[in-house]
Amino acid sequence: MSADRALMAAAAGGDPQAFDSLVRLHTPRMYRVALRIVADSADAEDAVQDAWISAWRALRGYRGDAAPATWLYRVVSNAALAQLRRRHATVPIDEGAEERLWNVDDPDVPERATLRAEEVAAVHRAVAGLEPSQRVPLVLREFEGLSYEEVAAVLEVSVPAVRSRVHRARQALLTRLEGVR
Amino acid sequence: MRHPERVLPCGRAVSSLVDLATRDDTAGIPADSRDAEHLRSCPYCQEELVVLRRRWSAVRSAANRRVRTPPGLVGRTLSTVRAVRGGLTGRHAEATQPGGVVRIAESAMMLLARRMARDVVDGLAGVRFRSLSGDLDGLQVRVAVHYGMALAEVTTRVRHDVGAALESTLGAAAPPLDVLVDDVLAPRGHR
Repeated sequence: MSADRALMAAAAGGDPQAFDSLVRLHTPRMYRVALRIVADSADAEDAVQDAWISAWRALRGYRGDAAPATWLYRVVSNAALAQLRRRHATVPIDEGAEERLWNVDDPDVPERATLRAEEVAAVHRAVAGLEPSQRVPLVLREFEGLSYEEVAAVLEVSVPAVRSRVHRARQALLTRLEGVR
Repeated sequence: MRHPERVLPCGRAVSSLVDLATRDDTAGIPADSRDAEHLRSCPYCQEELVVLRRRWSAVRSAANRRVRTPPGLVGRTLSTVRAVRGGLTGRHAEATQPGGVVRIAESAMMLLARRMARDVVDGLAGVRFRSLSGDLDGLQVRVAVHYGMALAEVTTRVRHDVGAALESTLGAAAPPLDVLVDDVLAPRGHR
């Protein structure tokens, strides 16, 4: 049994320390996925916290049918989608702040790093403009590196459906990136 | 929104090149691709592929960027989860009303308080909700405030508005509330 499966089994049995270990191990990845879906750091944090609350409440029903990573990707994707629905009723994205958010460490020379940072920010803005039904499979496939089969398992849809959504997402993304030369 | 299909002068739709442009195993025309002969000789397809691959390389760069986990996020998440989990020990909030006593399970109260605090805080200008922790004896709402906001004014407003929302639902069972500013955000729209 993998370490994650052992922790999930212990947490499902009511062991709070095992659950805390899962939170420590997987929160960085959960945040990364949420951020790429909601494109706002505060909303991503909120989605991560909601995801872990949902995970704790749903754990007793976890039977090990899905791999722990798949299950957690599903939980955080759903929480991020819920956050997107909430945000439409509340606050808009702060684009300036988000551009800085993506400008993380770059070992390149300053001019090239600036150019790349602008491109990266443009990509994230373009991803944020995709329909959620395209955005989530695209993030899981192209940004998290999951296989089509793994994305299908996370989203609980067929592999052909995932292939179709990712294809449409790539097409829409490339169209939105027309300004990138 | 669906974009109209763009067609190259050779008659091929740009969408038919997308899978080829986003493959990561080769920069050329793989022998197994449909229309390989046309793609190798058509200047319009070749030119479009160069453009699409350049755009896709920006997506690859973005995907390869490391995403920094905000400082303290794991701790805030653990506090949030523990607040809800702690409620499973069987404590209840109690509010006496005319005709009887209302009991609210601690886990339900924490979930309710978290949602109410988030909705109230996110409705205020210049402040964002970060987390809610605590128990029946007291709640702590953590917020991030945009630079330039008057902190005392913001925290007073948050405590008042969130407290009022909690009291309207929980009555006398509403726990006392502390407000913590744990981050300062750049002013909105600032680059």
